[in-house]
Amino acid sequence: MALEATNISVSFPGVKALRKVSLVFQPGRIHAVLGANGSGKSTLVKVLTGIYHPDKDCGGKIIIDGHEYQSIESPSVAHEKGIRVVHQESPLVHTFTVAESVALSKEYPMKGPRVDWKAVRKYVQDLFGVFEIDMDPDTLTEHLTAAERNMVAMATAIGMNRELEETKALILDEADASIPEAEAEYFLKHVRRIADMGIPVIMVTHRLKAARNYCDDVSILNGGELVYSGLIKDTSEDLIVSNMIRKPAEEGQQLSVDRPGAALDELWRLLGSRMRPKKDTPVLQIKRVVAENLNHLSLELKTGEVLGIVGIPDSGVNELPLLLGGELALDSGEVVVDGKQLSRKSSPRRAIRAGLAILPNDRAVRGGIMPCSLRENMLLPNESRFWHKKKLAKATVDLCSDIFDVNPRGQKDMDFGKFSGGNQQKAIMAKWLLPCPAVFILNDPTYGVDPASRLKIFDLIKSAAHSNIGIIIFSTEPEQLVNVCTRVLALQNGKVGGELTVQDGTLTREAIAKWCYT
Amino acid sequence: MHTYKSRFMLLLNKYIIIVIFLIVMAVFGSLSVKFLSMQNLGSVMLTQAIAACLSLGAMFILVSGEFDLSLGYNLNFCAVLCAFLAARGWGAVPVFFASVLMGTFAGLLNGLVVVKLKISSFIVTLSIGLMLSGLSRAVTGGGILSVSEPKALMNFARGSIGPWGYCVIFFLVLALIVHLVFSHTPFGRHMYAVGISTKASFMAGIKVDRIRILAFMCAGMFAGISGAILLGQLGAASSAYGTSLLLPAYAVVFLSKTAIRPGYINIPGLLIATLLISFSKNGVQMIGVPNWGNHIFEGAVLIFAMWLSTRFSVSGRLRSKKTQGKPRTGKGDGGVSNGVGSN
Repeated sequence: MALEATNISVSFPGVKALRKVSLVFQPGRIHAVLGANGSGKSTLVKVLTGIYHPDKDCGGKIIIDGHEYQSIESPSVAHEKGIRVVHQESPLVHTFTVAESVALSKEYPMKGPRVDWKAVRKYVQDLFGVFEIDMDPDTLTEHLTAAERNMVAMATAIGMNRELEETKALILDEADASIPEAEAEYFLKHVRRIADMGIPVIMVTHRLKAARNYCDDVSILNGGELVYSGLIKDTSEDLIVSNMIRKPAEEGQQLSVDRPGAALDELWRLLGSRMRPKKDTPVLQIKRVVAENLNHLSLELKTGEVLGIVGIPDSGVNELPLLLGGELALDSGEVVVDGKQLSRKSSPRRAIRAGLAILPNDRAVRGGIMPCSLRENMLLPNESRFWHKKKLAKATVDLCSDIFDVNPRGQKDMDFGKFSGGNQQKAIMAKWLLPCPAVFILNDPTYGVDPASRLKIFDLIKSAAHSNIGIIIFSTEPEQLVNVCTRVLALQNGKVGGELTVQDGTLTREAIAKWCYT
Repeated sequence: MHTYKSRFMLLLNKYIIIVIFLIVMAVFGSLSVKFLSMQNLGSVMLTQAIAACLSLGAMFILVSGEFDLSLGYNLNFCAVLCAFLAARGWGAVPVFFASVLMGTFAGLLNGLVVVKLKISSFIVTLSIGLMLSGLSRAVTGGGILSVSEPKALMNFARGSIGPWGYCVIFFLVLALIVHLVFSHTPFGRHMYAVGISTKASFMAGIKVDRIRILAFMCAGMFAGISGAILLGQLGAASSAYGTSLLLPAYAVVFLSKTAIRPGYINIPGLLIATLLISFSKNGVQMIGVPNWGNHIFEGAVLIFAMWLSTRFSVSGRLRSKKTQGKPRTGKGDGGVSNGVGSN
């Protein structure tokens, strides 16, 4: 019971999305498929699930359990042949109970003309028994954690009894993207249990660390080609990253060492923005702030500093970005930006006026307006400066696209939603750095971003800091902070519980991870 | 997890409409002697049966997450069609079914255009409503079509056993059927699922387009039923009758979200909401407010109803002061569920 894809090529007008890719997925093993955005991994998944068809003239074959196919005609045929998929979007209806959400994708058992709710519950209980999910079927779906939701989605996709026997492969198409780091391990242990049932599991993911801990095999795609395939234990993180990014890693990093911040200064000169204050002057002071989980929190941020803030979920780390962004009101205490006190009843508009720019964590909802163009998104916060100056607007967007490396270039009028996650994130950074804020707060900037863009984003953060903008980063991947922050504060019970700095050598991966999870 | 206070809030959430209803009855009852008389109660229910039937149709639309602004015109055209056919000597049963068929057909048209041409349901249904109102004018010639036949339809629409009008009983039977459809058949459940998340439903293998078209057809069907009853009660039809019933019908459906099963449009809630709206309107008339005041009051009631439905319709999860209006702190789909856990 294995799934094999041989010599698969897929062409679109003008682009070759996959070039002669051959892969074997063995039963009982978790096979990680890695690659930057646009490397062809989604195309591969779509070929296996019958959405795209391999080029006829290349002799591509898909072999499921010994049966050879030229291509799989449609998703329903793929399902018939035993290929089960869990996508990034949850197939569960959030205000239904878990039992009903599951029943929705199966047939409802009927008693006469009515739905037999007892049988629904029984079915789901049995299904959860098979997959060792400990959950009450009457729970509302919206009360599940992301990991639990994905576990239910996998169980639903595979099914039990006859359906389980017919399952030839499980594809997790970035299904883990919505799961926070802290729950990832729990989820992956569950994936392992499914693999142990003798099912080949294909995991398309952005999570390197998780892949290295829980997968058996790894294949890396780059520009539509298979550049690496082998056992995961023979690889290192560096090896994987270097295979994923197009340019060698060093080249990207050198970029800013050259003339850090120069590009941003040029941008602000073009716009005639005020110049930033000198290095090491305080730009943000938070004094004894009380709001929800925050309990007398005080901290100070200086220009040129990159401050990371971490903590477990109820330490106040979720509220602080909302507070700074003006979405959450203070109960007491004060926030001083650039010497001016922020009014107690804040709003996002007031926060922006005061010089606080925030990059929110849910890109699709609060980060950008997906059906609007790149240009509109980038210039949104200060559209009033551009609406009557077409040339300036064009020059600004072009310059931003260059500085922030937003690809594909020259597509100013393309819908924002059509850009990949990494490029969207870089464009959103541009949007908030354009008005030259006093403080730039990034809430989980690397969420759902490919490794190459991630390096670029860190690079940009460093150059913004060099241009004397105060930077605060909240991250769910705390290890990432080591590379970019000069100081990390750990929140605990609503106030600062610990401080790690580069100077005294306490800023290490282990130390950050410890504050994040315990 | 639940404190004493939150349990109280949960109960209040479920039964607030009933409480308001009782208060309204008590207030108007004490202000007007006739208000609580059997005769008045019976006649209010009789006249409101039409709007109530239409709200059953509106329920299909709102549950599946669409909007149909043509329902009022559809009802009106069906009534006009009934009058036209009745004047040509058709019997009660054929007239009734012609009306139902016409309504359903208009619904099908709405559904096909919205789903297949992928146009916003607001625009489509408003345009189709306009066409229907044009047809009404064409049939009536701008005047009023009065009929005295078929007698059976008139009796059905006007007659009653005690305070219970035949058409009130008919409505209650329809409501029971709709209730069973929504809570106990795959069709009804699919409709809820499509309304809550089209994408999730699509991925669960539901034929989303078909469900949406069927929702429009069901809504049209109820507009047809209401149209026939309207003609039966008034004995006449013009291109203006019945179009004003649209908004109250939707208000009732929205309001049903606040009662019995908070967060869900549900039939028991719809019945209570219908009673609340119709008796408060009637009460205002009974205490002698002039006609123009009545309109103002009705508008205010609708806004109040909408406010109630947004304030008190959070499903299961309580909307305390603390969490109100606060965006979820988790990211996107995978928010860490803090607070109300799975219990």
